[in-house]
Amino acid sequence: MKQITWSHAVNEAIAEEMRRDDMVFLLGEDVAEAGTPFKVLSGLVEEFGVKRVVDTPISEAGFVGLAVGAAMTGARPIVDLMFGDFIFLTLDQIANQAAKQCYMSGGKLKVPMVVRTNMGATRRSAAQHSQSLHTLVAHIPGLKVALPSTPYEAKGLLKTAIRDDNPVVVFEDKLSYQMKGEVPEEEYTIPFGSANILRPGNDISLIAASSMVQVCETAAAQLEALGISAEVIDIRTVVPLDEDTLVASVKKTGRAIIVDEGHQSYGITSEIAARLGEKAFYYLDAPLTRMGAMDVPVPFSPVLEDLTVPTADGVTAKAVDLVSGAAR
Amino acid sequence: MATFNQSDLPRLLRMYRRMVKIRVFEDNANELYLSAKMPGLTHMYSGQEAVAVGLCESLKSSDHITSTHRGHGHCIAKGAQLKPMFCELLGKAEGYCRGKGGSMHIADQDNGNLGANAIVGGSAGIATGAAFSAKFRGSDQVTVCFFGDGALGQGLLYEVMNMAALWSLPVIYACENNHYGEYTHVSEMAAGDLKARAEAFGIEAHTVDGQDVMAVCQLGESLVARTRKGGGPFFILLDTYRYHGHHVGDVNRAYYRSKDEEKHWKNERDPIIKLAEHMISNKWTTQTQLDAVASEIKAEAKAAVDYAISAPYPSGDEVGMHVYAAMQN
Amino acid sequence: MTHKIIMPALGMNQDTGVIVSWGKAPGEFVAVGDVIMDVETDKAIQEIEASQAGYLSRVQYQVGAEVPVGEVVAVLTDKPEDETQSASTIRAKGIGKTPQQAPPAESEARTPARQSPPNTNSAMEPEGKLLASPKAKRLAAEAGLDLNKLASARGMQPLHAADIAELRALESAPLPGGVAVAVKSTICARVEADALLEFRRVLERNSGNLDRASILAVFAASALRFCIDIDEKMSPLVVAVSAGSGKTFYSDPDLRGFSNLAPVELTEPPTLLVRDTRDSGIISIKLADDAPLAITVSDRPNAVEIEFSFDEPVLPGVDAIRVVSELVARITEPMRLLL
Repeated sequence: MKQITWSHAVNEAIAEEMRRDDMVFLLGEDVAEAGTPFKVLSGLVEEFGVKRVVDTPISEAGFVGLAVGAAMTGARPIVDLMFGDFIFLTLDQIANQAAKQCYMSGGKLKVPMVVRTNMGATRRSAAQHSQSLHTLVAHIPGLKVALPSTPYEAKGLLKTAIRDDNPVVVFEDKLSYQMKGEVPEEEYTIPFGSANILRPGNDISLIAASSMVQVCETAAAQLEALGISAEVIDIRTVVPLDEDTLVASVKKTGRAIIVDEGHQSYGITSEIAARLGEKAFYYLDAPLTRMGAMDVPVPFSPVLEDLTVPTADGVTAKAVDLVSGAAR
Repeated sequence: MATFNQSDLPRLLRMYRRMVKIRVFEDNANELYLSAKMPGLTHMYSGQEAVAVGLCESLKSSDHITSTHRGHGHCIAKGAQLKPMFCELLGKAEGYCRGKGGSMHIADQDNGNLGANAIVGGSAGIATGAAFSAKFRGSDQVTVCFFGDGALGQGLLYEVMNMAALWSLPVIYACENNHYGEYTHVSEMAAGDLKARAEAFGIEAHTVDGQDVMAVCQLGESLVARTRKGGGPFFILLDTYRYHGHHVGDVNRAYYRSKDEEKHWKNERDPIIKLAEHMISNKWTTQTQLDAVASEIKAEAKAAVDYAISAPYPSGDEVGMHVYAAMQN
Repeated sequence: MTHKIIMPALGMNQDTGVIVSWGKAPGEFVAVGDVIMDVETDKAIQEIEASQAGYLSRVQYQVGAEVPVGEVVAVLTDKPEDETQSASTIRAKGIGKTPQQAPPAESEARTPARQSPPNTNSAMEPEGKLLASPKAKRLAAEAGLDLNKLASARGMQPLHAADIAELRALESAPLPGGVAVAVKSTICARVEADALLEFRRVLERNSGNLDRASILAVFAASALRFCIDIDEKMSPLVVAVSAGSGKTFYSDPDLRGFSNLAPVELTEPPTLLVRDTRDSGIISIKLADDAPLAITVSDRPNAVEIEFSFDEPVLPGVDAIRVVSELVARITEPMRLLL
């Protein structure tokens, strides 16, 4: 299988879908000739032209709102929101408009649009360019939320997002754009709502999304050396959530740590823990444990910033506590 | 006064009928609300009929509009039926949105109405996007974005007008200046020349008497035609007035506007009376004929109200339906 | 000399305080600085420390009682007073309740030695709530096992699924004397170690090298024989001594004298286990196959802690208390044995 970067995988996904469906178009800040600051979209404007790769003014609410209207009337926009933090500027359009059109109209209207944006700290970008805000949109019924963890996932989930008839927000970890991974030559998509068990295990379930999946994989390897068998699950989509796979895993292991880069309080870790508590309570042999980002704005100083996100060592230590019964 | 002549009578009568329909609909809705038969909150369009009717007169059913919280008039002007509208107002299963939208979210996709919107200025993005989509798809559809003077305070409007102008999108921004944003006069909320806001983006802007349906229609006809040919966007500032309060229940209004002012607009500038007088004084029709139109519409409305009152509510299982559109492309 | 313990005024607008817990049982010795009781005022709970030493006596209020500021709640006396304090003299609710309405005092309030699980990690939740994982509870319920037995046998909580195997063994193990259900009870005591250390030095001068655990085995056997009849079924009194992982067995060690003390091959199951964890770092230990009576001796600063765990049917609590008192006396004044 070919090894390509995350950027390349995303670029392939968009190009393939634009070739597949003339109604798909891309818009956002500096998406055309510049190909975004991350250069993820380079080359697309050459193939599809400025009609389908549209540079917008710096008007996040405006172009997201415009995408909603375009989606409601037959087009299939992919909106590039340069930083996940800018989602706050667009929330009325995403949460009040896009998310609710189908429901408010009794199913008559639909909004097949994708907001492609990013998340993730430790890029030294400070408080307004480092947030992981997927919880914010996951809270709003009517939106779907995908968090790919590898180039393979990024491509497969994005293609599914583009084909979905609902508004989907895809969060990519901005540190992952240069990550390389295996991506098949042939066409594929990854269905929403199907979590991926990356590593089976019996003693504890490590449930994560996005880059925290790698954190959990590293932790699982460390745990293996300590004689603890950890099951690592990539949830892939926060909405819809593959509850069945998570519940089955925790019923088997009796323990779970849910790891996420969003703020811990009221975050997806809390939601998943609550669902596991409801559905797997009598199988739990240790407290369900959340590990999210610290509840602080992301600090600039590298020394401080690194303290705010979950690490493999932290997950390992917590898992040891839970498996040994020391956690109380 | 616009240059309509006797040969335009069918068109004028159609607009007359539509305006009366809106007025009668609102009278009934007001009554339903005040008699506690209608839940929620609602906003009356009475007084502003010429705006919606005059502009929609030049639109095809495939053209799009976006509407506001004060949206019943736009909905009817774009061709909606009274029965499913009343059903929607009462939260019934046969409503346009199966009772899920209500007064502030009626959408009538079949007639190109992309929906009322309860966020002030909230539909500016949708309208501009619909216009973008029309151009993108190579269609000649035109979109009219209705919004009130209150929406002039929303930044989104300027973001999308900028893009509409940059990309020559087929959209007409129709600002219904009814002079009050909620309970405050526009002069206290919007600085400078309102029209100039659009002109700053290089958008051709017009002002028109929103109580003169013929004037509105004539301007609309010309701008819609130019828009259809790629000449957009345009901005129209329509001078109009709402007879009722901001919402049904906003009864004591003396602290923000006088009874005399209301009386002046109702007696001197009513769009329905104005059109009737024009047609009668030109002897194109008679009061008797127009009274017959009104009676017919009142009967239709009464039947629709009765129907809606006895219509069934949606079943409880529908509450979880339509959160997501069925997959997929 | 007696010292009154008074409900203190801890806040600006405080008229009363609620006794959340007693830090000491009636009859127990209270040193200066020990927590006598926890008092709740204005939503805060404060520890009330002793400013004088003495034995806690004449306790007037139970846990939960709301007591007016300034009221005497108990006194500290030079000597332990009669422990059979009438239940009706302890008031459950300080305000609006007559002594007659008070429910009988909990027996623990009158137990002289502190009777509790052995270390801080082992505390039962208030009101004896069992701490076990949902999975452990489910597995126990499915197997018809009682987690409470394991909780009291181990003293360690919370319990997890892995502990179920231990519980299973515990429930299926036959008990000495044909007793069907054993209830492990424990008593803890703390004794100054100086005299014991000195005693060992004396013994070593006279009898050669003698391991310290064996000394305790002699004391324990002596204390046990002093308090109860060693009947035919128990005789000879076999004592297992465990210091580290292995075990040594003695038969009637208290009757042989230190100089003649020699281990024996095990023929009978031991009645008494003396486990010496000093210098091992272990502060609490209980194994499923422990003898019906087990004494664990562990290090404390300038002291040793004795934890006596016993099966109630084998040894009634009241006798067990005497055994501990006698053992404490022997450790405090070991020379008595030689004289």
